[in-house]
Amino acid sequence: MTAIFAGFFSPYRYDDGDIAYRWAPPAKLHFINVQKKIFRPYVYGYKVKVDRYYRRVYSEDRSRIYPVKLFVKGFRYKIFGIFSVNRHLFGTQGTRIYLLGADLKGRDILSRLIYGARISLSIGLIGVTISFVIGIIVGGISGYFGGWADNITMRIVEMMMMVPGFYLMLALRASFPPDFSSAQVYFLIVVILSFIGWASIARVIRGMALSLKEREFVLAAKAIGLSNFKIIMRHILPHTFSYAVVAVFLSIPGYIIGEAALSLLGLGIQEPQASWGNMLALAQGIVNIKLYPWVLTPGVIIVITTSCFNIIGEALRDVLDPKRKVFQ
Amino acid sequence: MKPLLSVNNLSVAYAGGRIKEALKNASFKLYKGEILGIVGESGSGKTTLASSILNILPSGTKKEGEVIFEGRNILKMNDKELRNIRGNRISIVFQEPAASFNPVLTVGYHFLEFMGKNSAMNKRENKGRIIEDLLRKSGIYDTKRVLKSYPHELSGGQLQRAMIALAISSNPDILIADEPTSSLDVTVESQIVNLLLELRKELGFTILFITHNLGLVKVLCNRVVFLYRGEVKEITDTKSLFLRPKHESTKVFINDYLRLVS
Repeated sequence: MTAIFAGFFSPYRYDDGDIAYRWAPPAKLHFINVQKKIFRPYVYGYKVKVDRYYRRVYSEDRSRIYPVKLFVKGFRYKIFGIFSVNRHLFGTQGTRIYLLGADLKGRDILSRLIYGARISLSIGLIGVTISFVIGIIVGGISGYFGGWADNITMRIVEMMMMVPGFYLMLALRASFPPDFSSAQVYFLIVVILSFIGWASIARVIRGMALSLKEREFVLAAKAIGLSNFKIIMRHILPHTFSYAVVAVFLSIPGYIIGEAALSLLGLGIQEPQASWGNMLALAQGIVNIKLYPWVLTPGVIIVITTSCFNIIGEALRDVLDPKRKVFQ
Repeated sequence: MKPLLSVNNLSVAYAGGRIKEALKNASFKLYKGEILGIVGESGSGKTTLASSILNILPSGTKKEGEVIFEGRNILKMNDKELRNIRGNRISIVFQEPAASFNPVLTVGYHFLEFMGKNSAMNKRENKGRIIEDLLRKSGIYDTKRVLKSYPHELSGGQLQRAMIALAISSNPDILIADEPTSSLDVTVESQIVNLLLELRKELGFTILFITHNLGLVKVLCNRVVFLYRGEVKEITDTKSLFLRPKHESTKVFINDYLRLVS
């Protein structure tokens, strides 16, 4: 949700930075106005001092209160690419608000996290969809027909699985020119990740198809003269879906992490586009982590998201697989 | 008289199986309008015979000999020709009605799917009525409920009736009944057998009745093929099978049956 309506939830654009505020720490959100004794969230502005090591030291400028308002006007964005809107969930006027701090170009990390979620999550979802469609179809066909078709596809699958995933990913990335536009890079990463992912799925689905094709209703479908295509689509693949749904959820984290890993190394999504991986690239140096610990938040978000998908997947498995319950 | 279907020197061996040959040199002829019983103990190759007539044996199975239907060898046909024969000219009713329906699809869907395969049937507009008529013919009267049900919601007898309705829906020349009643209780068994006889009278198909139940053979079949360990031991009319069994294994089988009955 937040990712779809990124424009609304984030106070700033992902590439909107103010160099004057670079490395600004997270703003403290104050809730109770002491003088007026009313409940209204506000922040103070930043005061900057450059210390003797030429570091920028920020402190709160207590002279003026900037109330945080809901549904304020800000930059224009488009919902679903159609409606042009300029309202945002929250914002301030007169100063910039950095709830999770700012990065080296003074860009709001919260806004970039929200925009990055778009890319990181959609890569996960699209990649998983593509690789499952390929995996299920290839697995279904090779399991159902057996014989030489099965042999050839399974040898290809084994070759895919033999190469460690991460190196395969790097090798594939390296085989494309580095100067792509960001849309091309995005597309490329999706393709690379799904190319790696389909093999193991095809293998499991093939096994299931092998046992399903011996079932009597498949024989009956054959005996009334249905075409092979229809038998695979209607009588074999639907029986593998309870496995597939669980496997989808359990493998989404792999795609998110895969994208993050590529972007972290600078091979994935390029600046100024935000993705969780390339934001985390800022946290590579120990100095940055020591001085500006808030650059680690993308990492925290990745951990939370991936474990959420894992937990959902585990729960789905318990719900969908009645056999497991018996043994527990 | 020219046979409707003739099986000549058919040998079948499953790939990697423990038994070397499921069928050895089996030959028999099926004539139009008769009810031919295929009898034999478990594992004698009855079901293998039925599957090879429709050529639905698993891939990798070794087949020799021929199955001639209308002058053509079914074992040598390509996929398209096979699809035209399966279900349209030769239908089959399997042993276990609950297993022959796909558990995730409704019974009605199976009918629609089968009709969808058949372009001539697909064009007819009142598909729903045709299906309901078929079910009523097969002795199912709450047709709407049955069509909406999933296989596990219906009893074995109802499912077998639905299966028969599906098998006869394209007005086949031959109906192979592969032990259609062995998983049903005796009352339902006699109902199903009577149903088959009635439908045969009405539609005039030929029945290849596979069973190990000699009682059914006695009341149902004109002629009998006796299978023993994959070999055809005896082909005779029903009466002489019981009165004058020629082969040793046939005698043993019939004696065992008679001892059980008395």
